[in-house]
Amino acid sequence: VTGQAAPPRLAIALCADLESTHGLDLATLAAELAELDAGAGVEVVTDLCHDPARLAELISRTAVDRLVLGLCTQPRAPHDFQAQVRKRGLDPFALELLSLAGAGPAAARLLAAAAARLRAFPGSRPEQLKLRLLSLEDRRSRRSLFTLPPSTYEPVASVAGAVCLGEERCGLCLSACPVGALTAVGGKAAVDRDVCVSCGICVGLCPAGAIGLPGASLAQYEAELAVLLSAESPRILFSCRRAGEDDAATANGWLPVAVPCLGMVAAGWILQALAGGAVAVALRSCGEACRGGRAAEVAQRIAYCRSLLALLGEPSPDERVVLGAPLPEDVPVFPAPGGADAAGPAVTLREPAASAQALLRLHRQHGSPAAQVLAHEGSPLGLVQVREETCTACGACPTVCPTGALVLDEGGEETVLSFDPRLCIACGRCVPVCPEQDHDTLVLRRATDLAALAEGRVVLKRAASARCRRCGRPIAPRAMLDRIAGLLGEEESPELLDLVSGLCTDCR
Amino acid sequence: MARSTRRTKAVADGGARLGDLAELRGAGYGILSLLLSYPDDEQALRRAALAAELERGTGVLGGFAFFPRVRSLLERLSALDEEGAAQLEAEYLDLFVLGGAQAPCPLYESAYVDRRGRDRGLAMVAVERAYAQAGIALGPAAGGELPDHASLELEFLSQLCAREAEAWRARAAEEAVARLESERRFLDRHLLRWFPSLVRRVAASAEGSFYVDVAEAAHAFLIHERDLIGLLLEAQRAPAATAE
Repeated sequence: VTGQAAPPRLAIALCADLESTHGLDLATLAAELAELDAGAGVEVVTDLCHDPARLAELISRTAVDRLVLGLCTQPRAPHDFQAQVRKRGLDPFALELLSLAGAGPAAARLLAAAAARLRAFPGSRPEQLKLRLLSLEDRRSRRSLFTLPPSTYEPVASVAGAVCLGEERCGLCLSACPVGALTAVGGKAAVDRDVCVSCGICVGLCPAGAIGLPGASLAQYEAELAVLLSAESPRILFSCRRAGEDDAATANGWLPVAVPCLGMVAAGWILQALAGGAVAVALRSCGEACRGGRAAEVAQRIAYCRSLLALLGEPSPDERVVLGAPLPEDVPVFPAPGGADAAGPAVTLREPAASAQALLRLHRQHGSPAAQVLAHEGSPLGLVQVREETCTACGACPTVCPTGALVLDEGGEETVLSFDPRLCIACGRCVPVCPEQDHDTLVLRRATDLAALAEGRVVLKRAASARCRRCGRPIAPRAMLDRIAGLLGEEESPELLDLVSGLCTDCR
Repeated sequence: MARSTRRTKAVADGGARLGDLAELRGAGYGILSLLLSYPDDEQALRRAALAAELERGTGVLGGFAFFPRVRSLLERLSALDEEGAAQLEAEYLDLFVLGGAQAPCPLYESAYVDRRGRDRGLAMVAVERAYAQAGIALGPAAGGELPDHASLELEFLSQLCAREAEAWRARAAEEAVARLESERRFLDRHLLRWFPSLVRRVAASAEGSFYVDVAEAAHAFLIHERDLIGLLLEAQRAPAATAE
């Protein structure tokens, strides 16, 4: 029943009409596909675009459980294909429909990318499926009151409670959800299925990777992007699904990655594409009626990426990171970045690793720029600094740091507060919890510091630990105890202060 | 071309009559109730009859996402030999029965909802009241089982579906809608409140067991039902608003 062990069996089905409608040579296409994705079986199906029922025969004959369909146009009723897949007992989202209308020579690459994305699909959980009845609005007759109209399934986000960091430590998704579908239940995030619009914004933002959305998981986009970036001088187009397919852009050589909402595309995604060899990255939104309300953030991310490229010495950053339609037909081919880095690390899209890894890679590819620091509102990473004079190493800030950028190490002779800029997502949770904020002790800047990223973890504050005079175990940082003593001042008895600062809780 | 698409759609998942659908949904609850009851010979007998009913409805149910899970459970169950059946019984006892309230995953709502645990508390009284309101009393077939047992709660919904089916067939849409509403109420107030915890506990205490799949399939079915009932109610309201 579970079938977790067996790898998915995948087939790529091509509509036989592709030859006549778009002049694609299916034999050549199949050969190209075999080179890009040896594991996928390629099937040519007559009249596939118009007769979804043909899938039934294909599934029972080939015994596949994942299907990529190469179609002549975007189908008018995609739910008919989904219904066929469901009827054969497959996952409703184990299906990728791909219009090859504008694909031309990129057809094989696009199909292989869809296949990679489907392979990376972990399968949907029951709570990630939402049933929807079709054609409710068409039901007028009295008789139709007694029949069930055809139905389809849509994906809904769900939170893995065991992985979620919880409201105390993180809570980023709760405030980011544009429709308020995420609330804290028992300290962990939970999705209200009736409210969720499946925009995927929370998926892209969860630092723990606890939120799943069928068809829009980070693992799927990572797999898809890896295949697209392996093209020659690739141009990546992140496109809002609601904007529909842009066949003209595809015909002009843009390789589309469809996302449920552009708000999901973090700066790290753009940087990953650039670092992975994309000559240009474009973002195409569904327009001003963005259901995620993220138009401003998207613009800011683009501005950040351009500023960063400028910092690195790129001559025309505006042509490498592009917003909206119409997309340029021709992007000047930029000199390939440093060859030493050609076979880079695998694409990762989870922040903050996505941004940090890509920034370091871009930095290496471009050599040392004159300036190293970019302060920008759209920076996906942040920098924390503390005033050593007033920080007591009390350890409040690490307890609310969702990514572990701030760490307090109490193990040794000293209590050490350290910070890793590669892990800081500038969420700002550490600022309000600092008890010494009257003295501006902890400062968070939304900024990217390339040198700091290369350096990694740094010590922010070192404080000698006070030790129990009876058993020798560390009690607390000396600086913190002194600060408490200072706050209590004359009013408290010296005996009590001595007890608190001289003995551990067990020995008191 | 257009005709072929239309025909495909009708074959694929269109046009189930709500009476038939309610009856099949009832069979779904019935099967899950059975799967969570004690696995003895009597269960095996009733299982065959319910499985046949479910199979007859494949055309309607086949398109629903929960169906493949339920079907594969039935297939696995009917493929069991004597040794397998004995092992299943042992699994059932270990997971749900032995230890009473301290069993790894008791099958009683009050064990999850009632703060004091399983002692005929308020949670169980509420379940009893829901049965009484629907005019359903526990008969001798319940075998003296407490009313908040998962199997009985599921069977209760199966009964509600049967009545809903009758109402649709008698063209009594209002009564059918009332049944749907009581089904939804019972799901929200009872089964869906504690089932997620049960699923987690079963998964944690018996990895790979048949009952992990049973609990997950039942949970999937319940979530699906919650959605479907909501949509059916919405569909009934929508045309009423535009009618004459």
